[in-house]
Amino acid sequence: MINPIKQINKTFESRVRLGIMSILMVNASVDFNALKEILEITDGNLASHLKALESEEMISVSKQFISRKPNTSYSATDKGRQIFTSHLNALEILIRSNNSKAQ
Amino acid sequence: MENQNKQLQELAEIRNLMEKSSKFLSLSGLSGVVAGSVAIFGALNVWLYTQAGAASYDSFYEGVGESADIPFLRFLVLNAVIVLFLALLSAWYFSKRKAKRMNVSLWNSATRRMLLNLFIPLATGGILCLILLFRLQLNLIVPLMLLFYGLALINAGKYTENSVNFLGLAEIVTGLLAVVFINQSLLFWTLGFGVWHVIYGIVMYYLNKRAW
Repeated sequence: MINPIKQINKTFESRVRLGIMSILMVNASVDFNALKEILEITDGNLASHLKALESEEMISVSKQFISRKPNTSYSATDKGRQIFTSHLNALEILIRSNNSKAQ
Repeated sequence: MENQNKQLQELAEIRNLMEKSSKFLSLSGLSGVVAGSVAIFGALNVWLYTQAGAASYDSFYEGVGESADIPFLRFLVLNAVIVLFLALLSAWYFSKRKAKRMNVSLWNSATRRMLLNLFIPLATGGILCLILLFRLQLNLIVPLMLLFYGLALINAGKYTENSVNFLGLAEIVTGLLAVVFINQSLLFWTLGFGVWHVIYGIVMYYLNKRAW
């Protein structure tokens, strides 16, 4: 059996990164301001976590202009989806095994 | 044990963010109560008009084409437009209020997605009813309004509170019954757009209040 602890991804130890991935799993693409509003965090904080996820190739960034204003939107990559899913599965296994130990 | 609490909390947070970012949750029960009450008053207005002896509802439905009662029809359309306007106004006002309290913006991608999915079936039904109205084929307009509204709610239900699906089902059943008892259309219209909205609004208002 694979060790579930190994599947618990270090990237998601941060509440913000976990949040960003959760949102991008259910939305095709989300812009910076919408992420900021849902997660209720500051620009700088959000930007640094987005950069971290981008450098791990878990999210992709697209920049465009909407009526002359720059707009940056983010989506989850296939790799990001895969990693997030195994993270969730690992969480589930851990919780289950804890439950059966408690009984 | 502490570790497990942390993991459970993490899962709860993921679920919360997924829902918050993909669903329109600013719908307020109060707008259902107000819109439903407006609809009941509108229907009452029509009923009083017929009771005053100015028009008969039964013969109105049989009157197709040349024999249609045009002044009564004008009154009905004007009445319906005012009811629709007030209902939309209350939906907008109470949603805005709830969005403000929930600290989210009312006009976001979840709202747009919900409205798009609501309005595709709803506008189809609306245009169909207008075509029937201009052709003076009046007897199926009320059931079609109820049926298309119910289908629109169920279509939008995927992108908002799940409870909207129950309201949609109730509207569809009411619409089908309105076809069966076609001379009682006004009664079924009042039930569908008035009474169901008020009941749904009250239940939702108290459920949400308890959740907070």
